[in-house]
Amino acid sequence: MNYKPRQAFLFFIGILSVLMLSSCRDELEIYQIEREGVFSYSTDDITKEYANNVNFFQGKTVVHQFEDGSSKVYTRYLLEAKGVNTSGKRVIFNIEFDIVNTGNYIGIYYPEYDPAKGGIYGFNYLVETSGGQYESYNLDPEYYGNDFFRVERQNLDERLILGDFRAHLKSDADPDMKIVFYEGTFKDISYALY
Amino acid sequence: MYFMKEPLKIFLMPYTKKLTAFITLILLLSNVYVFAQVVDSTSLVDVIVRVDGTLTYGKVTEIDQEFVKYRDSNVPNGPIISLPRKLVYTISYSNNTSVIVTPKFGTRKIRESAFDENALETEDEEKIDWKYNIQHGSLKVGLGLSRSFSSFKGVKGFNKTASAPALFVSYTFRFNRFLLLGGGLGYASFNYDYKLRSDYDDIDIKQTINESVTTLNLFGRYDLMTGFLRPHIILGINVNYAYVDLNGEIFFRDNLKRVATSSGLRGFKTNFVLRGGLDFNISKTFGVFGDIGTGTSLVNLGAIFILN
Repeated sequence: MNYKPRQAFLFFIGILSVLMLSSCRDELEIYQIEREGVFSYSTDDITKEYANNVNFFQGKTVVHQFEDGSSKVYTRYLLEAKGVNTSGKRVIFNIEFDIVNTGNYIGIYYPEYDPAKGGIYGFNYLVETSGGQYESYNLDPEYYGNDFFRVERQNLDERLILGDFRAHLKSDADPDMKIVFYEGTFKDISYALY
Repeated sequence: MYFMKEPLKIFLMPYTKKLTAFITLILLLSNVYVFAQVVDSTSLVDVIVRVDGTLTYGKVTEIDQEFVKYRDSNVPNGPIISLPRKLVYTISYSNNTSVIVTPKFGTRKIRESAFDENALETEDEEKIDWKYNIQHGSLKVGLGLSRSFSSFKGVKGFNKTASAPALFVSYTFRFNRFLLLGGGLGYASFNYDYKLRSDYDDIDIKQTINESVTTLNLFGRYDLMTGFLRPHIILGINVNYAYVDLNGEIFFRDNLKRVATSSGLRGFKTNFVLRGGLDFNISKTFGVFGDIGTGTSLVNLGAIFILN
């Protein structure tokens, strides 16, 4: 290689270096939906609290006995949510509801069963006490008519559900200790098919 | 000498003497002619056949480990010229014998000059005529059928949609018998779209990405064979300038809000190129080629225009 091609080669390398060093990159704003399970509630209609560990399980097949003596077979599901409330206490929600197993969860469920849809089997709330124990709350029959658990939407492709709930609970240990969950919502809770 | 000194006296001689003088003259001229023939046939001209097929006439004086030394036949008393052994395929001596110096013979396009040991400055033993080689390169025009380079490979939810094949032009010239150098320009465009209509989320999202990539390519090419079929390997570097536009629209159904989005990206990105291919030279000036590997396109197909 004589001198001129070498000089041209070095010149070219220099140009390439300048191009690469001076390169700039902006960012593209790509919008996509991020899935994150959310379970939120409020006990005073003001403060929003969250449980960050949410699971949805299919349980056993059960028979519900109606007051008129008839019965119907349902599949029981459990929505379990664990978190820490604003007081720093651990809380656990166990919401069990029975539905006709068609793969479609959409519907509003009450403590009083609808034979066609099913109903809320149990709504249990556990809250950590100062002694490290848990205090248990369950549905107050006095307010059955005001409590509901609703699966508002279901994403069949991604197997997700979202909905809301409201519940009046009383303490198992002290029936006078009551708690009401307003504006309870859950979103992007994934479920498995069996 | 007699006839030279006394040219007119011959006409004054008797007939018998004239005949004798004429025959003598013929014989003398014949001797001169025969001598000339002998000198020509034994003029000590050897023929040097170079590996590029060119012939050099001269008198070979010496063959050593590095050079074949000869005197140019046109300059019998000129300097001894040294020619590197590897440029000499064979020597055909004037005595009808021959010797193969370098058992390699082909169609070298490069021009290499002999080494003149009497020259004031010595040069490399293989001086490459860059100007000649660059002027006698080949131009390739092709299409990339399966585009492999894109900044957005594997972006979740975006699907590649139809777009024109990549286009590129490259020029190669010979560096030596098997190695070629070259550069090229390419252009490719990629389109992607993202569509989401979610009743579950109560939202509609539409986004399109248009990406244009202009590529400057520098490469070296090694021919595994020479001839009309030329399998080869290409190793090089691509400097890609990507120009990307993203336009989107998000419709929130629950409150009937529509949001338009727009963003862009410009930047350089380099990547190494490794390709294998085959040139098929249909004639001395035209051929077709195909290659496969990394770069702007997975597969390239096109035409070759050879500058002779």
